[in-house]
Amino acid sequence: MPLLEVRNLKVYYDLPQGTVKAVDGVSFSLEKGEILGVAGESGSGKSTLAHSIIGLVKPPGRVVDGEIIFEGRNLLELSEEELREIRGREITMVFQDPNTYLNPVLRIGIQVGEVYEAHLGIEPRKAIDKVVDLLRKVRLTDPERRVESYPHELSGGMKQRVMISMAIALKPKLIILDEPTSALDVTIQAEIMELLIEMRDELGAAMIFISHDLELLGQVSDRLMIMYGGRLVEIGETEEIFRDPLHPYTEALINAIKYVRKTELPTLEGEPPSLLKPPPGCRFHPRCPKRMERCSQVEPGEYLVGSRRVSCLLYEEESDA
Amino acid sequence: MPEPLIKAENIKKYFPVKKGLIGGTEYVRAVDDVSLEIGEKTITALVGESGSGKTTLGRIMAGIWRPTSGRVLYRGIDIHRDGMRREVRHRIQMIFQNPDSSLNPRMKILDILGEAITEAEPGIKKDELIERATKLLEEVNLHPDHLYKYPHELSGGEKQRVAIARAIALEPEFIVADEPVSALDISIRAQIINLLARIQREHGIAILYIAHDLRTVWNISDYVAVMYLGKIMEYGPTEEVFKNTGHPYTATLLSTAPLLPEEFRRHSLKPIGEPPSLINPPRGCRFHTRCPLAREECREVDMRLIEIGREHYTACPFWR
Repeated sequence: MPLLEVRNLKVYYDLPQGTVKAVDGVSFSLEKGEILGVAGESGSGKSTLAHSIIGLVKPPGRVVDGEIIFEGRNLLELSEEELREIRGREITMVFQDPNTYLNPVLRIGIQVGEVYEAHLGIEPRKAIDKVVDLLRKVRLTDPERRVESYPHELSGGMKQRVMISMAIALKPKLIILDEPTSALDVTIQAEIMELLIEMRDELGAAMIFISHDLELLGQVSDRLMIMYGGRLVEIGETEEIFRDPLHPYTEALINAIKYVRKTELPTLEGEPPSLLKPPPGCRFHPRCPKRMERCSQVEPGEYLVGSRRVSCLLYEEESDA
Repeated sequence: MPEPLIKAENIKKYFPVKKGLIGGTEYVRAVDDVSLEIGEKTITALVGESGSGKTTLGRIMAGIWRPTSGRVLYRGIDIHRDGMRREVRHRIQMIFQNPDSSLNPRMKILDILGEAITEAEPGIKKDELIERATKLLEEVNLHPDHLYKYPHELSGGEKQRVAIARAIALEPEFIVADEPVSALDISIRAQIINLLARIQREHGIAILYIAHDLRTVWNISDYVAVMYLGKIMEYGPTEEVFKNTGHPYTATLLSTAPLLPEEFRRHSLKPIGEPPSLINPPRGCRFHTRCPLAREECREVDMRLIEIGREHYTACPFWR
């Protein structure tokens, strides 16, 4: 049984201008200890997908349809109280901007300690040794002194280490990372990535790693899922996708991260689709270099090609399914 | 290098910061004695992480900020001397990372471009102005319909095209482009980079391209300057810097780019820890506290740029 199984998930936002179909029928599963990279541009639905797994979709957003099965239980059917027990303990999350989640007037030691209080009932002051150990584990320099620091005394990279320490404190089974290094400098980013992989190896936690940076995902993920306009475009082994992308959109993304010197960079004309009024048929067809007439009329299904699942009419015939 | 169009000489920029409650002033040394020359019709990339001083140097070279000391010469004219600035104002333009803050949200695109056009040619007739604005949009591949739209009706990529159109309206010889694609989606980035490269070729403009994205730097730049904590660590022709890297800091940056073609991947150097403060930057080599190859001397000796190849300079005497 997979650790997590998401089936036909639909998350919509009701706005005055109409309904935004941010996630529109997405299915995937995740094994224990696996790192799944989720790539997509802004508006692809990747962040909404992440938030919905831990029940953080707030009005005007709503989960319209689907199932999120975590260790055999459908998270969408749990009470807020049951969900709170899982969230922060079994499933944790690391966000792009730690400043939004760290309280500026609380010392680091107290904030990290609160994780133990909330889930294990240990008073933060009594958990201080645990906190120091935890901060040492995420290689924050001088942890004994850092527990006394306030967030503003820490650099962006250090704050993200604190966030990661809170995410791993209770040895979760699944960590969701939403662009965890996008706000950091490249050299710091490299260190945080190394730390995350180490944590996975040590804790055996599965990870859903969301990023717009395909090069980065290529380094860390076992499998890769590409999203476009609220839909899954392609999912499969990371190496295979890099070697031989099936979907024309995946191919464009892979081409876009290659290094070419003094010649035009390969481009994808046009702009990502509006989720208020997505194009009919395949959502990528207006920008697709391989579009066929049917692409604007027929919504592609998801076709199995080897171990990969791809949503493109080019593979309708080849499909093993 | 061709005769320099723009020459920055010994630029320092110190920002004052208050020191606690008792008072006293300390200085953030954002740019600390940097010289840089940019030749006509060339693209020089200025690469560095946050706190490197690359944006500060870019703004000084664009004439937007005054240096604390040092000077910037445009064809021999000091661009910061009083009264001189006007002469060169049209020749030097800047494109910012975030077009939302550089395009007035209450002005239609026609008026945004019109402002620049009338600055170059006061008293231009309305129909001529519209014609010129339409041509500018064509140059950046935007439909003339956009003239009557407001910035918020445009996508991020379209706004950056408008910013480029406005910059070239004054027929500049030098453009400072500060991370012009960093805020854009990956599929849009390539469009804008290709556009910049084409505009540069067709108009013969020199560009200072400020970036941290090595992929676009490799694609469009002729020269690269690598900055760290207010100092230039390495400078040279792009291919030289990428292939015959002369500084450990450059090597650590290149090490973070796993898709770089095989011929470049000679390094897997990782910097140590966090960047130090700009208020009390380390003595000796600025990079020594994070340099995996630092020696005893690196803590003391003030590093100067030394020539290690044709037009290729490094601030590290020990590595290579």
